[in-house]
Amino acid sequence: MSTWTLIRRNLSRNRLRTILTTLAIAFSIFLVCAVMTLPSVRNTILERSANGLRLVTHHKYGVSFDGIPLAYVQQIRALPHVTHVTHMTWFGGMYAEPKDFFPNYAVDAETIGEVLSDFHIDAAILEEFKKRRDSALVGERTMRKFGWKIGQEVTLRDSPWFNLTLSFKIIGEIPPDSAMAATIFLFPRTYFEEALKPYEAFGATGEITMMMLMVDAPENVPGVITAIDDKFRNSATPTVTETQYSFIATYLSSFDSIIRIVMLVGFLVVAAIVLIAANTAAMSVRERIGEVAVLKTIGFRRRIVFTLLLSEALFIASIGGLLGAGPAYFILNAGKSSWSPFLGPLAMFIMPVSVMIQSLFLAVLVGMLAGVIPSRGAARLNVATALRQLT
Amino acid sequence: MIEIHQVSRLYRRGVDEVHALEDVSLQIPDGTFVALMGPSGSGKSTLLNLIAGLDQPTSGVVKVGAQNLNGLSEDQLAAWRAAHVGFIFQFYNLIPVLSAIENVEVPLLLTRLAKADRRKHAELALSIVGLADRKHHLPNQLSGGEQQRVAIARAIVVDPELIVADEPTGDLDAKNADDILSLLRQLKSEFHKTVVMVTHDPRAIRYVDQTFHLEQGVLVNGATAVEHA
Ligand SMILES: Nc1ncnc2c1ncn2[C@@H]1O[C@H](COP(=O)(O)OP(=O)(O)OP(=O)(O)O)[C@@H](O)[C@H]1O
Ligand SMILES: [Mg+2]
Repeated sequence: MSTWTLIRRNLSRNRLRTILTTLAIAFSIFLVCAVMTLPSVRNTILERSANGLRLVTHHKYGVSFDGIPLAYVQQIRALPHVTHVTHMTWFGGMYAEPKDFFPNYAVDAETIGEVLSDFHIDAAILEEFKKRRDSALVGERTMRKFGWKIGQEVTLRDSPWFNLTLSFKIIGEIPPDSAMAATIFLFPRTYFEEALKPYEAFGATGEITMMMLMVDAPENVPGVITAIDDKFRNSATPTVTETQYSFIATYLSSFDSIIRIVMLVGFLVVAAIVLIAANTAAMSVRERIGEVAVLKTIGFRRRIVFTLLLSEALFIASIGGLLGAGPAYFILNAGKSSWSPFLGPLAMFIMPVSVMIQSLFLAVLVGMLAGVIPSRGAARLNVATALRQLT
Repeated sequence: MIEIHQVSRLYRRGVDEVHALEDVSLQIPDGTFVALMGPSGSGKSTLLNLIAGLDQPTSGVVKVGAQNLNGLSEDQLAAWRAAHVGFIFQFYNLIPVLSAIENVEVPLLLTRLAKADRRKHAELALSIVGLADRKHHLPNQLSGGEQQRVAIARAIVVDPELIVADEPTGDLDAKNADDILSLLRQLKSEFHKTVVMVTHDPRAIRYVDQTFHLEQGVLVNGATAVEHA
């Protein structure tokens, strides 16, 4: 037998009580994790509304009907409240078989990173993309589909239009953060235009498929949409401009105070759990005050008795903490996994490791606070008096 | 040798003062089995607690072996008890969640013995009290007499010079009381322990070497040597 045996047996004295106390702590720590992760929910919503600042302009009758003049880009860039403009042109290249379709665009290497910031393309790779005319950025899923590696040369063929065959060097992979990003294939427009030189006479070089632009603030979005579409309404190439997401930016200011209230409630729950756990610890010590007196009689010093009893509370609290923070970490990070489309609002939680560590510390603190007073009281017990009460 | 010299113990309850012991002097030679007797409230337990280092006298000197117990701190007394005193209580006071052998091992947790050695010492102590075959039983699976024998094994496991027992037979029937008393006598005769026992049990006279009678905190007879047949 060891001291650890003694602690363990004491915990198993009243199994139901030990289990319930552990679960109460686990539950409250889970709650704390969720509450401390709430700011990340707000950030996720903010990110989505930032996407709401992005507009797409294309031909009034659709992207597949016809392109729009490249010259529009400069005109739109000049509009008030428009911060960034980039453009994409459909290439329609195929790799091996026509059925292995994936979207590929010639893009403006200089501006693409500013507008498609949610593609999370590495800054260094973007720099290289601007410099190397035949470079290509490819979505993760398309890379995997064809078994491509970074640095590999690939050749795409564009059959129906100009019968172009272009070779690219893959310099970077686009993370699969959205369905669009996962499959896309991007290369610099300069390379495309060189290849199109022989067809300049057909007006092939002055066209783009669509423009993407950023507006400075949510409230200016409707105005910018009308301004663009009005500008080209009576031209030979009228346009339609759309937001990618409808957004809820106005809610966000009130969201902050709700978070504060919910966090407060969460911590009050923890405080309540501390009181309940302290009562439980006090009860479990009181029940065996006679045994404590015997231990002290046979020579267990204050500090040893204190440590022995406090370890019980710390053990319960630590297990409770792990049972709360562990599952919380997995459940509240499920939004990052492939389950995310099925999780609804849960997908907006992203629990950082720091929250897990903090909540484990909190659990240990709960054990301390709950255990310290009863353990101290028992450790300071006057043996002679306690033994009298035993008989 | 246990030396009690002009010891008084005063309890204060508000303005009331209780003289639990008044100017008691006595000596107990090493390797004797003595009984403290007297009516309820006469100060027997108070005296036993002083001898065992559980309490300090209001005045007077308590010396056990070479150790003067006066003025030791709580922790020093605890360390001294752990090494030199074995305790036996009226209600056995075993830890209910530990088996017999584990209960006997508890005092050894305070020593430097390795785990396997702790087990060996405990097994030896249990075999001395005749319970080697019940070592894995929990206290509630043992009779009162058996539990008291486990408690005696726990008291002797660190091999202390002094064993103190407060009414060890108080909760037992005649048969079991005789068993416990002869076991205590055996500790004295075979293992040369000094055994100090508080008792109301007249049967005890046949087992002890000497009795001390207390009445209202005062030693009334000095020492009565008991003749053994
Ligand atoms: N902690 C205490 N506070 C106040 N009075 C006490 C305390 N301990 C003992 N006394 C008093 O001291 C006297 C002696 O008590 P003690 O326990 O030594 O008697 P005892 O001889 O062991 O009695 P019993 O046979 O009933 O166990 C009693 O009057 C008791 O009330
Ligand atoms: Mg008594």
